[in-house]
Amino acid sequence: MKEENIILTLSDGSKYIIVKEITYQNQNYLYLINTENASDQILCEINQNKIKKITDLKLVNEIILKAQEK
Amino acid sequence: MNHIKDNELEIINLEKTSEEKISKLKKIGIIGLEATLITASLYTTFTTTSMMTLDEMEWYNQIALMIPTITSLCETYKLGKYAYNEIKEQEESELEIIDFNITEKNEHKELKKIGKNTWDWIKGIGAVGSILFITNLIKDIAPMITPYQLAGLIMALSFNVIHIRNLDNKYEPYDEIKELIKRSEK
Repeated sequence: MKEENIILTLSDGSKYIIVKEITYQNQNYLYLINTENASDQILCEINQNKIKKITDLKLVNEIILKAQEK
Repeated sequence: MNHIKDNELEIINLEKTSEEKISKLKKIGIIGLEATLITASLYTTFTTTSMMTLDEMEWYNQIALMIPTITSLCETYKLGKYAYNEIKEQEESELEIIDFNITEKNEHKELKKIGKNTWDWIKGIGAVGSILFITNLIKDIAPMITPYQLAGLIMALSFNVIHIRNLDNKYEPYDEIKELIKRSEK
């Protein structure tokens, strides 16, 4: 999934833009921002067409720091 | 049949859009990502610290530990200041509704909120962190510190104070954000 110019619509009806795509330990993650509420920004794991929000603070930090390296 | 777990959501649509429509929203996202990154850096710094108490550290290690901590705080300050000034300038210009679910006005509000939150956060963390850190430093190393070491410590602290003051007057936005602004202006 390319991070440029795509609006994702999720099954709960919310829409997000991809800010950053990160690969960490062979897993793809997306940093998303809600199109209607800019303060709603999430880091999530993506597998095919399913996404799961990352809530483990330690893992969030590891992934975000990994994104900085690139 | 799709098997969706409770904490999972499915992407039901992908819609391509133009760079113009999302560039400003993406800029807010990048500021958020940078703020998260700084939080992650601080978290890592403090987690690493907790593996070894200050009592177990040599004085120079304690000072060395201050460098990434204070650098992170400076970066957060710079980011908050940037976000705040960015919208302050834009707020004075004429607002127009852009073809999207977010208006310029709303976007400015969000940017301002992020800038203000980041700024409040840095002030809180900076105040508490500095007091705790310096108190521990003084408690632990003051009895054994030499005049030279004390002079070094004062110089290090002075440098950081000057650094923060310089950031206040002259800050540089991150290259990535600069590039986004340039692209959004085309």
